[in-house]
Amino acid sequence: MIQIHAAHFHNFRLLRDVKVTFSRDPNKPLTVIRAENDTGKTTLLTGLTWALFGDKALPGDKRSSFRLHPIDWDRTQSSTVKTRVEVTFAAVDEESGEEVVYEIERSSSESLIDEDNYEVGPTNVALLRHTPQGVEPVDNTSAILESLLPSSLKDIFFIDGDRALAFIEATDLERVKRDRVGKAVRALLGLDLLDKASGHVQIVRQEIVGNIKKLGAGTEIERLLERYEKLESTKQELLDKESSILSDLEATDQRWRAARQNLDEALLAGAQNHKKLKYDLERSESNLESARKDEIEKYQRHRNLIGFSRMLFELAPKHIQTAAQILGDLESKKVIPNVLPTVIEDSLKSGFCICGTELSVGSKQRAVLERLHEETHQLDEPKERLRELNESAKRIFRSSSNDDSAIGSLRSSYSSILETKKRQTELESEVGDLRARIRGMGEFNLTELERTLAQEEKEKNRLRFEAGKNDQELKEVIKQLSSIERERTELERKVAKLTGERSKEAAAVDILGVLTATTEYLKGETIDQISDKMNEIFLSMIVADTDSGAVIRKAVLTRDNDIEVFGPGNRRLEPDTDLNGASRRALTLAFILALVEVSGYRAPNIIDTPLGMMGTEVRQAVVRYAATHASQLIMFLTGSEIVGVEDLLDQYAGESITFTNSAHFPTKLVNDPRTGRMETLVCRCNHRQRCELCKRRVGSLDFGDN
Amino acid sequence: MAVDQRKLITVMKQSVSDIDLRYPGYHKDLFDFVAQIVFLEREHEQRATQIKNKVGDKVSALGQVIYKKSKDL
Ligand SMILES: [Zn+2]
Repeated sequence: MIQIHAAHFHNFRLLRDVKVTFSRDPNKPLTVIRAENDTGKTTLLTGLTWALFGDKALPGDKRSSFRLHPIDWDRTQSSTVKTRVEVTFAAVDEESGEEVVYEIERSSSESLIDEDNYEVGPTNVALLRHTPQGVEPVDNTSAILESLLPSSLKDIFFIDGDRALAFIEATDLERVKRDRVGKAVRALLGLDLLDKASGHVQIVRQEIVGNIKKLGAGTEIERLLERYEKLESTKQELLDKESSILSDLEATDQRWRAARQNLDEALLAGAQNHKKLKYDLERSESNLESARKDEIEKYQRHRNLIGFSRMLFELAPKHIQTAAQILGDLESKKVIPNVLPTVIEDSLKSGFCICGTELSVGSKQRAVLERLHEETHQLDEPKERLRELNESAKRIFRSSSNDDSAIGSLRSSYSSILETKKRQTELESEVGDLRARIRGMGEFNLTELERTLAQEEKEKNRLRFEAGKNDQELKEVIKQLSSIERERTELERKVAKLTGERSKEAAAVDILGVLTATTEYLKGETIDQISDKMNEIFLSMIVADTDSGAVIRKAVLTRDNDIEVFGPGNRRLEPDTDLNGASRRALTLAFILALVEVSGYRAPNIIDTPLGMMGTEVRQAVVRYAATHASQLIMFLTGSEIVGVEDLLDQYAGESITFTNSAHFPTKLVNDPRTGRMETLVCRCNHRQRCELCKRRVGSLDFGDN
Repeated sequence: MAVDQRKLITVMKQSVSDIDLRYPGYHKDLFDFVAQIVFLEREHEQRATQIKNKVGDKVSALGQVIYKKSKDL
């Protein structure tokens, strides 16, 4: 619970030096500040909120947009005006009753340049805490203040009666109005804490989403990964195919080996026969060849046996003997061979005859010899024949002396030839037979074995080709994989990071979900409570209003933050047009008091001009309700608002003061305050009292207005 | 300030149970982290802290738990 003890204003516009003490009596929680219009009510409210909430509480929401110094400041005395507001307040632990008292001092300065212009100085704030040891400054002033008096509560606890109507009046867009109600509800519930948490988580989430986007939003990586996975699966397929081909190949190879072995064995078995036959054939062929050669040689010898001269001698031996005798005679007579021509030739060459005669060229002797040479030459041929015949005769006689019978030899030679011929025929038949046998051999089951072997060979080649092709593809895939492999570490790092970021985003989304759902649930539930409470307060306030009381049946705060009013027959009423000013104010107050009550948050309610335009009965109801429900209630009331509620103020007001504006003399004040300047003056007169200072002219303009 | 702590916790637990389970025991972890964040926000109200970083750390920490646990699944 927060309680304000006192406030002291220095040069805050009209409040040149105003000190206010607030009631802290739980039985008399009301502080009445009787103040007519233009006496500093709104200024006091602004000064209090500035001190407690800072520059953003100033009209215009910032320091530079609002003048602080008194409008009639005398520049000639000092061109710089120091403004200061001190507020003493306490934070009370409601369970332990322990009270911590704080003093806040907010100050600023303005330098007046001329009549219209001034410069704004910085705003300073100091927060002090009362301890048993004394007063000590508090660090982290704004944070502590924010926790003690959340700025969002400003519009709920510090109410300008006219401005508060914004909650229900159609002066703003629906959305703005709802937003204002919604904000008030959330602030009051402390849901702003959850909202702030949501805001921070949302920022974190945005950062995470940014990281995810920076990492490529996954698409690039996912595509690469997809490619990698695809290649990996292709690689696996190819490896499987390879192992299947290799196993097929091995099986085929085994079958091939078996086929070859079968063939080899068959061949080997066949070849042993073949070899022998071949050997036999070769031997037979060789024998045949020898036999043929033998025949040729025998014929040769046979032909030699049948020579001409020999044959001739065999057939006519007597004639040949006679001829041989004649020829022998010719030889012994030197007729044959013909040697004369040679002798003559020698003589002619040497130039001397054998007799010694000179045979000079052109001589008679030489001419004789030359004629003789001519003649002897003509005898050369017949003499040569004769010589040959003589030689033949001599050979015949020589050979016939060594040989018994030429005919016998012929006969034996010829029978030898016949023998050879017979042998040849035998051998030819033998070779033919062997060849036929060898040819016949190849036909048996070799063809089938060879066909099987060829088939396996073909299959082997096909599988080898297939394996080669597969290997080629595999190599290509592995190449591509290895090229990705290089990026893979980086890729995996990225993917891990991406997955990590996505997990973080999921965390953020879930946390946000919890915070939002919690907020929405609490808000919804709370709105229903506020709605009920508002209706209760509102109806109790207007029950005495004969006009409105008969018309208004129910007030509702919807979950969309609309404040709605219903008349008889559940007819919806427009607060703007169907409610009078008193009812509108009552409705606003009912909403605010309901908010305060449902929140359970206990802070001073400071209400400026709450009772304006209300009938006496309604004013009484409002004061009664507010005074009995607020922990600390500060009301700024005009004289006319007080009329009819004096008894209630007697009952609930622990503190009462009266504000007077010195500038109201002589128009509204009876006496001249004699301050010589425009300022708010405070006297301790309560709602029933008047002193020299605050005594007002009867019938002055402020009577009867709000 | 205004919302009763017990009430807040009850509603938060209800809200947590409406979130999809990411792994067995996730709801307990999620509630712990949300509660820690709310605590940090409250602490930040008392004295200005590096609230954004602190909330960020909590979100990251829960994210890491999700990452690890869902990888184990
Ligand atoms: Zn007085």
